[in-house]
Amino acid sequence: MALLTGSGNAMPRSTQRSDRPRLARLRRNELLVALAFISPWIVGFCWFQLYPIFASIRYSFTSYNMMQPPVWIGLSNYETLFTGDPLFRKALLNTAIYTLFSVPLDLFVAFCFALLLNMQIPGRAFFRTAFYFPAIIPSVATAILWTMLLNAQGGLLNVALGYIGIGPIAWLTSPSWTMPSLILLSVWGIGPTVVIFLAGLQDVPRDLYEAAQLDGAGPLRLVRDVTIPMISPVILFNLVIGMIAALQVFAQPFIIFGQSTTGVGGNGGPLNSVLMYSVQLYNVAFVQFQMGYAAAMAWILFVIIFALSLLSMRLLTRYVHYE
Amino acid sequence: MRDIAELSAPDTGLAVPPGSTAAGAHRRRLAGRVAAFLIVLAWAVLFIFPVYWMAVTSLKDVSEVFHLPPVWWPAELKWSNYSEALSLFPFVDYAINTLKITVPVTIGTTISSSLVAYGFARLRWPGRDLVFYLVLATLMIPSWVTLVPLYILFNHINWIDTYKPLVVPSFFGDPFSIFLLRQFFLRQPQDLVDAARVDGASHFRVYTQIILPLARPALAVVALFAFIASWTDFFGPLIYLTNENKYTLQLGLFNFFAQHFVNWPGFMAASLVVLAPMALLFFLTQRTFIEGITFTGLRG
Amino acid sequence: MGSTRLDRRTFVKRAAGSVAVAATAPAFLRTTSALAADTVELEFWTPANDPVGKGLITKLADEYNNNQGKTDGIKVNTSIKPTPPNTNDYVQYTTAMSSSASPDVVMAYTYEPMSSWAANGFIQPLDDYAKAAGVKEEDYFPISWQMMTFAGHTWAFLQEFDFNRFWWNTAIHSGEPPTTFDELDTLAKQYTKLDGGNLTQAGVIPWISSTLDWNAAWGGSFYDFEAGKWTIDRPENAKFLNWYLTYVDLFGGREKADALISSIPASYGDIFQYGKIAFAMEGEYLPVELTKQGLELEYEIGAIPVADGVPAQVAVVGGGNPFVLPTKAKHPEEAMKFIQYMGSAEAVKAWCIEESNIPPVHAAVSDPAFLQQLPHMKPWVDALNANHVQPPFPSPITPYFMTNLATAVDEVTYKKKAPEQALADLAKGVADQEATFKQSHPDWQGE
Repeated sequence: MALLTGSGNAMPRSTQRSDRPRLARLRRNELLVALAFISPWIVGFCWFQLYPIFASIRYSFTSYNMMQPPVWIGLSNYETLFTGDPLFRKALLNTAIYTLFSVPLDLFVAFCFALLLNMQIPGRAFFRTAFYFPAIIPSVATAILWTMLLNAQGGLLNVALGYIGIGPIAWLTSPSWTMPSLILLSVWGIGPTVVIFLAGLQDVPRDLYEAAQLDGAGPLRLVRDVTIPMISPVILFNLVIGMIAALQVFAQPFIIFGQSTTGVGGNGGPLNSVLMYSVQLYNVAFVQFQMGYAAAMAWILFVIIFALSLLSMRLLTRYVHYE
Repeated sequence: MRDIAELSAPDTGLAVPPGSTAAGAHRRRLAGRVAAFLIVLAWAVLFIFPVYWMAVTSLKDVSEVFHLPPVWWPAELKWSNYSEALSLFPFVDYAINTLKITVPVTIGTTISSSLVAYGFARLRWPGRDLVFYLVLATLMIPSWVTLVPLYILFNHINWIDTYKPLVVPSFFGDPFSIFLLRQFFLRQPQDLVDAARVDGASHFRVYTQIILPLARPALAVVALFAFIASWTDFFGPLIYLTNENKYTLQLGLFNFFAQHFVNWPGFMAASLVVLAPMALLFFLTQRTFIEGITFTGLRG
Repeated sequence: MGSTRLDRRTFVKRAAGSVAVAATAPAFLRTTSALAADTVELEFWTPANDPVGKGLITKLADEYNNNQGKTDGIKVNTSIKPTPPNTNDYVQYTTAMSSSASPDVVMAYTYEPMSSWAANGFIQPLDDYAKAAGVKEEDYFPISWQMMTFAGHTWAFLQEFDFNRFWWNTAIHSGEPPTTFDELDTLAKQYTKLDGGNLTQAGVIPWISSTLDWNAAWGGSFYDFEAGKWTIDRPENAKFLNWYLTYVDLFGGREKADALISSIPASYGDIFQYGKIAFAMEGEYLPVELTKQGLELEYEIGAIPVADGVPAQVAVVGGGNPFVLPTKAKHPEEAMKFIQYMGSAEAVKAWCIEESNIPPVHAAVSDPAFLQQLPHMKPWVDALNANHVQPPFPSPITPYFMTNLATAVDEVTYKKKAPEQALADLAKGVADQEATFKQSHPDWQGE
């Protein structure tokens, strides 16, 4: 068939009325074909998601250290988590604070960068790379680099602040400054968010802007009344993805604050000010060998993520403008 | 070929009120662009500065690292830091190991995700949307929930200390990639598919011969994301690879730091060497990248 | 890795051969196994990634391979596997030990996880092997024996163990060392320099990594070894915390001390090594470290100042290098031979002299060569002979305790909690953990 040979640029012929009965018949038995296409996902889902999910629910009701068989203890893990574990509460609080501040901040900064990059300025390719670059640096390197930069005495950030008269801030050793350090670090990694915003921005039809401008809209109004509504699905997408990632942050806090300031144990920073949920989960699982307890924590995290994602999508969907 | 970006870049900030001169409007537009350029430049410098610091540190002598006042440019460029770091860090071996994982993962993710995406995009069947939401919902499952049972499972089938736990799952579709590709496929005109089907083509032929060739930018994006995710994966190799011969670059870098932590310049040198291929890859492919994301029509 | 069947056959042959021979062998095992046909390869994991330790452990393992290993038919493959940066978590080790890819011999750089590894079944008891090899309790210092044998079994062979002694920077303080807390406090105040609100030099910053030492010096104790119970909220334990608070006030806040500490580029706790404080508790390995790092420090070493009624030579074990046998080791018999070699007096001496560590056996310490090569070890030998060294806590809750002790110290020094409150909370946390542990490990004989 001429249609199916050659490159993908072959000109398709459009369907005609006479084709409709045939189409209807063809469409009826698509279920089996569909299943064939999505079979890889089905198998993968059962093997790598469904089975582990059920297994981990089961583990959460046991005490299990991976060496000896799990011992059933009923709701004990959950009881302890909700009533008797100050570290769990602290980790939850810290993670909530981190998410609450870093996600909107990152979104805002990324959006501004994307807006700026979308304009006709020279060197766009360089700038895009500049913003994206930090996101591909290995986590270990990032953590070490920032440990150097945030050093209270010789770190460059404090040196720079010193030039404008702001006294040395103990970024990594003071319990009040450790969380801001992490949030600052999260801004450094917004490259992928900027790229996604950029892609969304470029999809906005130019005539919408022109029409608004003809109506006398200034730049800020353009952004507020045209840009934001048009890319609102992208904003929602980035918000949800960003939130899910922030709630699970692990690598940076783990490596930077790996040892407490008293030199013994603890990876939550001074006064556990940056003990993150994932880090505490890691501690419980791999340092205290309590896999059952860790599974319970993982489940609670899942419920939180699920609830928050649904909530944000529900609440914000009326602000989102779909084509 | 004109840059896609140019085609839809809005002229924000510069409405032309009736009555002003064309020259005035032009000047305002220019002023706006210059302002934007300067702001972006300032921020880009700020963002890139830590990387510059990495590079500069990699060429310093250890004594200069925390020196006050800061050493902006080392007294002597110690290129020997690189040769020393590379002698302690088997870059080539680790790179090959990483590729042994990353290449199959990229291929597996792309192929499987596009197959699955097609099933959700171009076929109609009962429950389709519901199942798709299920696919998306799996994005919300924290990896910790599945980590331990999976480890135990892999242990049972003796996959520990092999690359299998890191590679095999990618052949079963990745939700994010499936989402992106489905978005893209949905934007292809239904006519195309219908016409081919009426002419007797099976869905598989439609998939391979019509949809896939058109999907190159989106596939490129998916492949790139998968590559980056696999290349930078740290925790997976940490618990599944126990033999040093199998270590990936990320793991090797982590090991290197743990073993030579006082050697800051050496560590920075090693990090930059590990980083370089990724940076190059990104720089070369960023246009494809952005176009690809655009074409998937995330807005939809 | 080889097929399991081949391994089992080899294992059975070796077990039959070596048990018979081992029963008559002297302590330093020299089996002349006639079955040296196939060489068994052992996977040996060690976190020794510091320049001296790495070279040394590899050398010792190679020496074994080239000499006794040949006779035993064993080849040891040494893998250096450091713990994650800044931590002492043996994540890779425990996940591997619970899987089919378990190493045969594990050496740890810290002693802390030992009881929890034993209680959770990651390692197996060595009683039979030890007995067969003729290992005798008398050969060991009581304290090191307690570290190797607890909860009714022998679990590890020690290569070395550590505790701190009191050091002073002679450039700052040139006189006699303080022996009481009053003397210490007077001197420390003199040496504390506040420059425009910033701390530039301190007499002592007590909370950097010596918590257990100071508590012992004040007469407190977190654990009752006789009864086998935690005694965290004992009122005596609040004394050292209150003493810490006097220094927090002296500096004008904990942040001042942290600022001073972060003014040096290396890892935390090295502030003494960089000459910024007059007094500190440091380990026996430091002299060698100082030379290696090229740090010039004039110092002297003595015993810790103590409160009234506390023995002068009190010390608390801070760590050690145990060699253990994972439960899922593929070649436990062969692994034991290597472990015994590494725990023998000769190998131990070789390690301790070069790394400047404390050997666990009398033979190594009483050898005149020891003090000859390591003259600075005298304070440690004195302490050993005085026999007031406290062993590590044998409870599997110890890792949890140590982490949360650090938090408790933070809470007190940042003035978030009163000492008594912090201790009470810590005691409750530990008690809860113990209850959970007992629920799922009802037959663990220890505490």
